This record gives sequence, C-alpha cells and structure tokens, in this order.
Amino acid sequence: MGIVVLGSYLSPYSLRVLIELEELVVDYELKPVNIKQGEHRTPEFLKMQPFGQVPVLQDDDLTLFESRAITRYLAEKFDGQGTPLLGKSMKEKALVNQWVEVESQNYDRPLIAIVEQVVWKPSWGKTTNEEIVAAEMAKLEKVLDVYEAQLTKHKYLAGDFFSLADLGHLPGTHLLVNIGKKGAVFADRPHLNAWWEDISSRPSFKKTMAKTP
Amino acid sequence: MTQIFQSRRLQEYCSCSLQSNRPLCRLNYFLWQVEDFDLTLVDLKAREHFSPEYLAMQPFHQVPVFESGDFRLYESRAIVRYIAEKYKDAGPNILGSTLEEKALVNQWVDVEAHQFNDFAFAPWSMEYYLSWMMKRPLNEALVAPLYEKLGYFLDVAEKHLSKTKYLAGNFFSMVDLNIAPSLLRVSVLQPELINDRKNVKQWYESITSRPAFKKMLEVDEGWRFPYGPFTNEEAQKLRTS
Repeated sequence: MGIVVLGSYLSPYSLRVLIELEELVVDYELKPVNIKQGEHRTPEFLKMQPFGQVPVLQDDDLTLFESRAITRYLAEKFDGQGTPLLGKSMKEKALVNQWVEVESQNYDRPLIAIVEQVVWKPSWGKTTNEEIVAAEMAKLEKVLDVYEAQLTKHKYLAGDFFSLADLGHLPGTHLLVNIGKKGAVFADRPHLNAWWEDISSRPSFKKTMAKTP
Repeated sequence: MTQIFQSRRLQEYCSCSLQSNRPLCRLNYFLWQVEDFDLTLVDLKAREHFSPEYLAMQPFHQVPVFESGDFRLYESRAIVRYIAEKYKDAGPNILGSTLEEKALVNQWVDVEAHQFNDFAFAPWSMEYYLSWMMKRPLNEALVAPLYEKLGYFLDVAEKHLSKTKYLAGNFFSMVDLNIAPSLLRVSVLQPELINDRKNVKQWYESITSRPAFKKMLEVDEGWRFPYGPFTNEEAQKLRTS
C-alpha cells in the first residue's frame, strides 16, 4: 500500500513530514484533511487521532500520529536511503534528539504564537493582537540568541551535519519569515541567517513548498 | 530492577524545586535502575540557572543537564533516550524493540508532552503550587478548563488501556516512566481523575509501585506535598485543611 499521510498543506506539522519524505526519497500519497471545514474533528478522524490533529501517517497496519514521532519513525525505517538524518554515533543521535526537543519546547511555542497572530488570524478575517506578537517575539529572540551562538560553532544545530533537528525548523520558520514577514530577527543574526538560507535552499523544501496553494 | 555499573560516575545537575520535579523524577527514576550517578542540586529560587557558569552548560537556563566525561546533554527526554539506548540490554527496554514499537512509544511520549503536560497538567499543577506557596485562593476559572482537558486525556488513556497493559503497548516504556511523577501529583490534588477510571487506576498503581519509582521518592527531598495515593475523600480533606 505504501506511505499515506493524512494532513494539510496549511499545517506546518504536516509539512514537516512531507519535506522529510522528499529528503528520504520515499513515495507517498497525501490525503488532504480539510481543516477549515473541521474534517479533523469528525468522529471518523477522532477514531484515528483522538486529539483531532494532523498529520497522521498510515504505513500498512501502522497508524501513527505526532509529527516528530512520525519523522523519527521514517528516518529509522528508511535509514540508508536518501539523506541520513539521525546522526551516526550514539552521542550524535543524542545531540540530534536534544535539538529536536529544543525545537519542540523552546522554539516552536513562541513561533506558533506569533504565526497565529500574523499569518493565520488575518487569513480568518480576524485582527492581529500586536501585544501578543511583541511579547512572543521577545521570547523568540532570546531563543534565537542561543541558536546564533550554537551556529557560530557548528554549521548545523546538532553538529556539522544536517539532521532531523534542522529539518524540523523548516515549515514553521518559513511561515514566520516568508509569510509573516518577521525575517529581520534572522537577518540581524549572521550565523542563524546563513543556516536558514542553507536549509531553506534544500531541494526537499523547495519541492514541497511548490505544491502548497 | 536496580543494577550498578562500574562505569564512570555521571553528574546530573538538577533541582528539587517543585517546578522541575518532573524532569528530575523522570531521570532519577530511570537512572537509578541502571547507573550510579552524582546529583548536583541547582537552586532555581536563587536563580542559579542564570549564572554564567550554568548558562555555559545549558544556554536556555533550564534543568536538568547530564554530564558524563566531556559529553554534555540537556532536554530530559533526549537524556532519557540516550541512557535508554546506551543501556538497553541491561535494564528494561523502555524505547521498544521493533521499529513499530519504537514508533508507538515515540508517539505516546509526544502525546504525553503536548496533550497531557503542556496543554493541561503543567499549568494546572502550577496554579495549585502557586496558590499554596503564595497562600492565596485557587483560581478556579483557570483550573476548570484544564481539569476538563486532563479528563479528556485520561478518557483516551482509559480506552486505550483496555487494549494494552501500558500506554504504548504491553511493555513498560518511556511514556509510562515520564508520566508517573505527574500522575502522582494528580493523585494528591484531584485523585478522582485517576480513581474513577478503572484501567487508568490499575495502570497508575502498576507504574508507581516499581522499585525505582519508590526509591526515587525516598531520596527526593523536593516533594512538599504528601505522596498519596489518596481516596477522593482523603484528598478533599487535605485540600480544605
């Protein structure tokens, strides 16, 4: 049957999985879930994913959700084809895991809060709350300072190799910088900016984003 | 199952403050099963985690940090994964054995992190802590919706645990380890969340009666609340006393 992803091009979490599938050179079928019409909250969907979120992965008998669990699974399953994403030694793997957690705990939260205000709310015809944007930008900038320091020492987050940790940042950062027009905070930090330019010029990213409406 | 290795002493910077009890407990819980380690306490109240020395180790000023020789690692889930991988033949394999088992463990670890901890448990228990510490009434408007979310998560768990013994399958895994200290807190504050769900209650009793968990409670001085588990009536008495 092959890999099926139930998701949405509007969801950075779905995009994370799709970009990775390109990176691993794996064929997949995308079954779109219409978020705007609440398809992710129907009883049928909740049977698969009880918290009503995308993406969901189907691989034969396995149904899997949570985008970072999905990306770990795919990286392990297809290890040896496409781009290696997990690191080679146990210590490299640990550092990849560390930066995946940093992305999940420290980076994603302020980022999504900002994206909600400057990208999604306007698209729903609602007003941006500039106070929230300012507060969350302040939090994000502190995190970006740490990234800048890290990327001064290494080309990528977990070391001198592109990994799942870097990949995970692609869709959200795209929304923030390219759609939300908040790229100044990247431009102000030369190593961070160079890293972003590098990872966002990867063919896997460009190919996936070319498919988005 | 405790096993002591002769390998290098590990250093783990942690704090016994209530805020970081979860990563502390999660790590100690597992580490005691497989490795000797030194525990260095970081005083969060004194803002020790903002000192230049600490920031050089953990630039996000968070606990815990794990150090073994010149290898340093932070983010408690990354640390647990590293230790679990390193000692997977020596202790219980909490990551899963097959590709599919590992995937389901990872799924539930993330579900626990997002749906249970971030959206519900952390802000809920923080409000209880703050009201207790600052001796002010509980903000009911804040906790009520969080309580609902906790209930929803535990309903999902209840259904799931009718099919498997533990959350990710029929084996004790990283998600059961991660959630146990939080559920202990739930059992003290609002035990009916656990007691009123048959499968959740059974699973809760199983994961908190493990020797490593009990050992962690013995030495962890950071717990200010009594341990529990309590009946609904006992907890009600404690809350109003």
